[in-house]
Amino acid sequence: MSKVWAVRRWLQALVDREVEPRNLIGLSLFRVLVGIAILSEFLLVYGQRAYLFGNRGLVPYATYLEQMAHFSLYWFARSDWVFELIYHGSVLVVLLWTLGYATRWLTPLVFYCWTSFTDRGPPLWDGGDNLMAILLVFACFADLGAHFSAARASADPEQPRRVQSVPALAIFHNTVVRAFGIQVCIVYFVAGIMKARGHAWLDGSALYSSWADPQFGWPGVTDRIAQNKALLSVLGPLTIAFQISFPFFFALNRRSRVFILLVAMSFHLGIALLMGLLSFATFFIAAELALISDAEYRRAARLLRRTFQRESENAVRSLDATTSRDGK
Amino acid sequence: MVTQRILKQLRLPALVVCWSWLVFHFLCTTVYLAPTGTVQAGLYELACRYMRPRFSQRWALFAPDPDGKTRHFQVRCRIERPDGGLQDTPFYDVTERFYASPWHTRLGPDGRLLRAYLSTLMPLDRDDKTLDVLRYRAKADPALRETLERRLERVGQWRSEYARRLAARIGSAECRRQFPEAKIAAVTAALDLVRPQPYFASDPAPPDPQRVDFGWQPYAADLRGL
Repeated sequence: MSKVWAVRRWLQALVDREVEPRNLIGLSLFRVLVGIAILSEFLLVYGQRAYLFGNRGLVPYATYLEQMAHFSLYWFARSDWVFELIYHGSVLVVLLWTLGYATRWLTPLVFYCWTSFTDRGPPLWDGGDNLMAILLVFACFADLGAHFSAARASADPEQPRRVQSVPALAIFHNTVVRAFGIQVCIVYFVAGIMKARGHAWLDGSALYSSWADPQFGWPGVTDRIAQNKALLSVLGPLTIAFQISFPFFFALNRRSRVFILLVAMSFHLGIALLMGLLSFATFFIAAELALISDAEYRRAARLLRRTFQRESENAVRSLDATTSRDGK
Repeated sequence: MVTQRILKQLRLPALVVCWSWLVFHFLCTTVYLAPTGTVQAGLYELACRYMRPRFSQRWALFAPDPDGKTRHFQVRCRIERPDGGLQDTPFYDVTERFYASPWHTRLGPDGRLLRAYLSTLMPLDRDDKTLDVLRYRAKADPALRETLERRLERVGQWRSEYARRLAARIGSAECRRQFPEAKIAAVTAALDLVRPQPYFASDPAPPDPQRVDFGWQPYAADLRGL
């Protein structure tokens, strides 16, 4: 009997823990960063949209239909004006979503706008789009609008979010947070294992080869790094070690998770600067931001506030000292 | 009150459903991404039914060995002279302007144009998990070899045709950009793949650039946008 009670109590505790929505700040940051990245992708090629994605562009409508693997909004774009309507409608949907309006309803639409956009036209993407296409499916079941939201600014701050008052929604939300974490772990682990299968990342020549392609690299900076064989022979294996160990650090404990996520973000900042893969890096950083807990964000905010307070107090004190010395 | 009670009752079933999905989804993901072997090959189709198309993924990011080749997209135009004769221009490199200012390219639309131009390399891309699984099975089952060959041929043909059509349209757009007033009859495009200098001094010198030639094709008069 006591065993049954113990199991029931354990289950109760488990369920109680799962009805508290997690990572609301992280997922809101994810929304903002992904929204900005997707918007910039749409707007960056605005002048070239007809050429890259249009019906009389590089991939004509008929060719597109031949290769279309799944439902896409551009399937409806048989004429130019429908194409324009979908393109501009997508920009509007992503803008509203980024601002935090009706995120629960707009997330599936953003997913369709994004995957339809990346499927149209020739293959232009780099892996970041793939990660986003997967995470946006998960995100349809999460609350992405709890923070940094224009819609939230006009709402009553005391009013709880639906995810906080409906337990099943919180359970869905927390499952999404877990799915984000596992998916990111899989990406790193698989990428690390794939690198370890060759020799180039182990002897350091992989970075040299990547930077030899002028699509990547930062002229003047990466050329110099590429000449330093000792440095490359450390960076290559270090990349593999970081990628393979990511899931272990992520699962170990709270501190190791924050540590590995900070390393991952620095890694992707490095990729943005040294490889020039800006959207790829932004999407990955957004995914990593979603994995940091609300408590960690609050702690970081407190730390920053305290540091700034101390700095401003020191500044006022030194200003006081200077003025009183000048007065004498 | 009643609603609250119902919602409370739904917590455990919701949790069971969510966690079951989580386990199922990531099991399928693992099978989908695992190296090709007996277990993976056996379950691959099953996993694909769920994973494709929405959860398709591939994480060979610069792995295992980046080739480091520089890709130059070359275009040649056949222009109709006023006297009715034809004149072929020499090949000119349309990617050079993108490579000349890397940050301008990355921070603007040129980055996407460059990728579109280089995507004509698709016929050379041999990375295809479905074919890997088929290859693995064909090792044990000779009857499958014929199926594999047919499939490889079909995929190769489709890719080549796609790349050829894309190259023709890119060539047409670039010829129009270069000669806006001219009457263009045909275009040809080619991709030059230039290997980098070897990393180790003892490694052999890189071979001559490899050229993928898409051949002469009619000018795409319907093209718009560049």
